[in-house]
Amino acid sequence: MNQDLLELMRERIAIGLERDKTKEAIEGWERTAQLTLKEGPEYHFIVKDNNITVHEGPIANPDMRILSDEDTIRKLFLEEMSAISAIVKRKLKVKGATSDLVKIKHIF
Amino acid sequence: MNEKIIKKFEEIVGVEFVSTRADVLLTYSQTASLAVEPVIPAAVVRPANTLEVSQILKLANQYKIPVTPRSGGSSLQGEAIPKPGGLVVDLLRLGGIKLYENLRSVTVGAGVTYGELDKFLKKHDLFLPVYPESALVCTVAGNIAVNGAGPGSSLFGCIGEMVLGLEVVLPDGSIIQTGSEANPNAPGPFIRYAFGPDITGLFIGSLGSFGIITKASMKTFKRMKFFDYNMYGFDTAAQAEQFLVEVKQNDINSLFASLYSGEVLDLFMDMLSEELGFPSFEYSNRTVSMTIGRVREDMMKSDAKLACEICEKLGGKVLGVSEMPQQEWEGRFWNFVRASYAHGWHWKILYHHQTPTNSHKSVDIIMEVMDKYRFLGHTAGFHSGHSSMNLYPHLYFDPQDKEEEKKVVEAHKEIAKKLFRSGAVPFKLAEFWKDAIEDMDGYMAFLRFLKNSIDPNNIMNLGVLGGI
Repeated sequence: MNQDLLELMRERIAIGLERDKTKEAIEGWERTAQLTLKEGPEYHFIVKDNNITVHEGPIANPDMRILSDEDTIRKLFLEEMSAISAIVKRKLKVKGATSDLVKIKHIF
Repeated sequence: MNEKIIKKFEEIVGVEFVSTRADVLLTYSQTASLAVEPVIPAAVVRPANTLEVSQILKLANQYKIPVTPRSGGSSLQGEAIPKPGGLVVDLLRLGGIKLYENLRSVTVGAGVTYGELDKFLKKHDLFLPVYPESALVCTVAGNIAVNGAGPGSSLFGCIGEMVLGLEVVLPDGSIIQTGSEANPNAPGPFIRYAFGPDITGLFIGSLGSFGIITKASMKTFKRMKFFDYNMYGFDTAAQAEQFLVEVKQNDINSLFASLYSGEVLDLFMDMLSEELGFPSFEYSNRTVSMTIGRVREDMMKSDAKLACEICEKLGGKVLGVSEMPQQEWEGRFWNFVRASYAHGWHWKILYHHQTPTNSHKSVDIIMEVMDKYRFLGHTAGFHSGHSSMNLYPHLYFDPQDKEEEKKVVEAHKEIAKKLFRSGAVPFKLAEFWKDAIEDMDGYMAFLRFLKNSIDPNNIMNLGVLGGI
């Protein structure tokens, strides 16, 4: 059985936060992002205080809205697919600024 | 358009070259201008020669039918979108290539594409060295009407710089020839600036508003065979911009020099590097991708060495990556199509010229507005002549997401205004520039005067040239 998605995201974010590129990308950065899966569930991410946390449910006025499906999100977090590759294949839709996208590609 | 008029068009070009079929009209309702709403015309005619074009325009004038000239349909800024109830004049049947080897020139019919011409010239060891990146389908005459640019422009300028003369059918159906060929005794096209003011120039970049170009006479050059492909990285925009200035000042034959900001190049390469076979490498804050071309190897090597020296003198780093500039040059016929259409994005663009040392202003404005409106896009530019950079944003949107498309339209307007105020000038005076241009009332009034004088019934591409 697949690992719970929330658990997987938290685990992979913790690993990611050890990387210099991720640390550099989020330093002093404050953003919120809402992830909506095609299957229905919603999650949100908070980037603040050089940390990234992920929570269940929506968040008001997110800076970025991410639309995808569970399989794609799993692949992104397991680094089996890049965020840009998912975007151009239309498996991931990010509504937000280009400069934010440039940053989040260093986070995933 | 009633049947009586259709019948008259059929009498001019033949029944098989007039169509009012719904599927055909749908095809002609759109061009590569993805962000412009398609418009179904009333009819399409496909003339075979200049005389037929003349007869068509006389008839259109008589019945005041809006006319949209079209050839390859690769224009990006709405120049060949028909008018409701209008007539599309498809020029692809106007073929023919005539070479004047001793005059170093060639004359092509309005239906000749860059691909066809290049194949022809290659046999003679020649080339027309400016390529729009849709060159396989783009016609030379159509490109002149929009004064296009692309690979080759860094050295030779926009396509208008290559024009020696034009045959044009004016909106009233009269036919004129410009340049040296206006003299019926001339041996061919050998100089553009003949017989008073530059009437040829009136039609370059006219976006089909002043008449239909039916033949174009162009300069040709000995085909270059020796190339150097390299990339140059810089920590600051000022260093990269100065590099581009010094490349010119030192007569380095830079055929195509593109300037990318690091983060955009990073994003762009993520999208396409695998498909295009580019290696991964560390991008600088500003990166120049440059193809040097020469007809002699010693000259090429000398230029390449000097380019490296200038880069290092300015504090830059010679990256030694050849794949990207090589692909930009070798893929000059289809690069744009691959890069822009491959993944199904729709986008709005805003091509404009800046000076090399003002390039960062365009990048800053575009990135700032994209961030403000929060959508995806990228920006880059290339050296487009004596002292100009052609810069552009690609503002991406999902065509099924109307809210996103609306944001892109608003951002597009804001970028145009800010670019104009930053000192930029339009690459093509497309319709959307009309709201961005300020304090140019006298110029725009003169343009309107010209339009009204040449086309009093306003049948030719109304509203396309800066809204005129």
